[in-house]
Amino acid sequence: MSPADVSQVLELRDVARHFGGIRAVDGVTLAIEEGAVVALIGPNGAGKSTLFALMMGELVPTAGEIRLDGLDMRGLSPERHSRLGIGRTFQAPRLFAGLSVAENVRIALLARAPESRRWGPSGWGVSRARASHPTPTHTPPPAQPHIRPSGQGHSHNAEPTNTPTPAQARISPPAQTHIPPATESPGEDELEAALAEVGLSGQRELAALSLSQGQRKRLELAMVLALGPRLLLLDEPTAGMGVEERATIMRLVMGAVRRRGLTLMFSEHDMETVFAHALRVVVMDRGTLIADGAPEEIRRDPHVQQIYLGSHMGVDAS
Amino acid sequence: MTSLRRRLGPPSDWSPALVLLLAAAALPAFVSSEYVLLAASMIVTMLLGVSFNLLFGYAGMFSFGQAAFYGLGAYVTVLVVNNSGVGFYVALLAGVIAAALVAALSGTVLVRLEPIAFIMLTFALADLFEFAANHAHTLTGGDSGMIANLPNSLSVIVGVDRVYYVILGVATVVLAVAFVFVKTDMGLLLRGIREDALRARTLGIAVDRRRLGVFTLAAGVAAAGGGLSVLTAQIVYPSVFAWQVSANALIVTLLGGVGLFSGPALGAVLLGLIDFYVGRLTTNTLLIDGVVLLTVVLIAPRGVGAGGRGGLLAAPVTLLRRVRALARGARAGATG
Repeated sequence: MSPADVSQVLELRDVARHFGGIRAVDGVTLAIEEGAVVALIGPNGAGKSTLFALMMGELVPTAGEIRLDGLDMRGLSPERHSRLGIGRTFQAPRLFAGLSVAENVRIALLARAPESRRWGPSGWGVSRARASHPTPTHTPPPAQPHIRPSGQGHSHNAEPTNTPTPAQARISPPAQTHIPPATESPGEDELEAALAEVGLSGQRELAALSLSQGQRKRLELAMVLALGPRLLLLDEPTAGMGVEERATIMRLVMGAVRRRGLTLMFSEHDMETVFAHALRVVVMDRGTLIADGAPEEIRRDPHVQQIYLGSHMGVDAS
Repeated sequence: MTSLRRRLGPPSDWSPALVLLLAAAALPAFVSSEYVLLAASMIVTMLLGVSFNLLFGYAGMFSFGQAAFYGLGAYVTVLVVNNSGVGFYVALLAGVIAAALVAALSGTVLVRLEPIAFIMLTFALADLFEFAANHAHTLTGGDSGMIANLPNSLSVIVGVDRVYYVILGVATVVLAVAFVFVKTDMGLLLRGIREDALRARTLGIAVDRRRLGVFTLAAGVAAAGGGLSVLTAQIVYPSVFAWQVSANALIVTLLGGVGLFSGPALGAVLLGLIDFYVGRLTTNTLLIDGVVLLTVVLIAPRGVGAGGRGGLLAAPVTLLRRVRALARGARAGATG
């Protein structure tokens, strides 16, 4: 499928999920490389959210296989998916609504599994599952650039000499990125840092259900980041937001991705957001993958244009 | 210090229970043995409520079968006291352990169920034990019950106060365990699971294992209540497994406040007093209980112990809102 020197974080092969006669996801093959920033687009009902649920283990594929670092993920619970380093947000943010903002993040900090030391900026940890896994342990830290097959987009974790994306250009210099060992119980400092990162320090004692949509999205992001994931799956991070809020959350997301060297896949309806941030765009329609490539290719793809006729495909956000 | 305050949560959550405990400790000095026995039964009911509250209030698991564990605690305590040389406390501990074991085993299946199935099967579990207690004559004496051969030092006839303090002492220890459990990280994780189990799962929390843990703990708490009930009753009948016992766990928690630490204690006192005084006038105490429960649910839906909206202090506001909603409904009905 791809050269062996490229590290594929997540691989989907002929993944399908049928609900009775409905083929929500139908034969999707996709590989996400380490450090990639992938946008998943497609009209409503294309199967994007189902694909996310499959990648998180909330749904079991009807057919096909999903591998994380070569490890077969079929039948593993969402808990295991999380512990193996996948962090996921939902289209409608799922929070612990009756609890305070601080409690929400504290739970995420507590949930950070001690047995699977996840990817931090310091490099790969070896979890039990990974240790038992046949592929050799990865040594390069996430900031290492990777060679990619052509047409597969560019490494997001590029060296500073690479042309920065507009998002990167806007981002202020990296803040402290220290993620303490997972065995430590979460302290106040850590909680405060997690809240500050998404700008919710002032709301820490509010009930999560009293937050605005944008704040909810930010809180959910803080919770997922608190886990120290290596792969972020964000289901419509800007849904239901105004232009300004959209820019804010994407700035937060891209800042976290860059500082922590994460791999990111996000689904999105707003094409400006997609073309401003994604280094690779995957298009779904009616459960199948109809296009996959660099943003420019996708923009020119007649099939995609047909689906998005009348939408913002022509807007050049870069 | 701030961390401790944060962990303890608002004093309105736990201070009523503390005040009631202190009052309970002083009680025998002021009242006759009739009231001391009443207080003892309140304490036992409170433990039953605490057990339900741990599950429903903190973890969102609606069990309608806490009688299974309450009854197991009672039966195992009596069986061990009667058939071995060990003292009451060891027998009580055996009852608690037996119930916890049954919960840990049955829980491996039960905690994975959908809410409705969980309600039905916890109910069925208690029913199963009631059936067994009724039919295992040689072991339990069937529906004639089984008299507890307690030493004189633990006889209510010899000394009510002494028995009362044993009940209060054990209950305080159990309450302290429950308190520590809900106020530490375990309690917070459970409240998260209660709010959104899928979110908890996708954060990597082992939801089923946490649920099994609290199910086991709650069983132990109910069993302690059942074991202590033996002290005042001196006999155990299959009716300790009856659904009314499970219902009492639910009623006192709803009355006092679901998810409030003091809820079951307040509810148990309220229900105990109502039954005591109403019981002098009529034998239909259940009818009055129902009316009281309905009233509380209508005017203070979050329980008498809850502060703010939906609490007892806000009852006039809640009542007014309900009356207005009714009037609106009536108008809409008349015009529509």
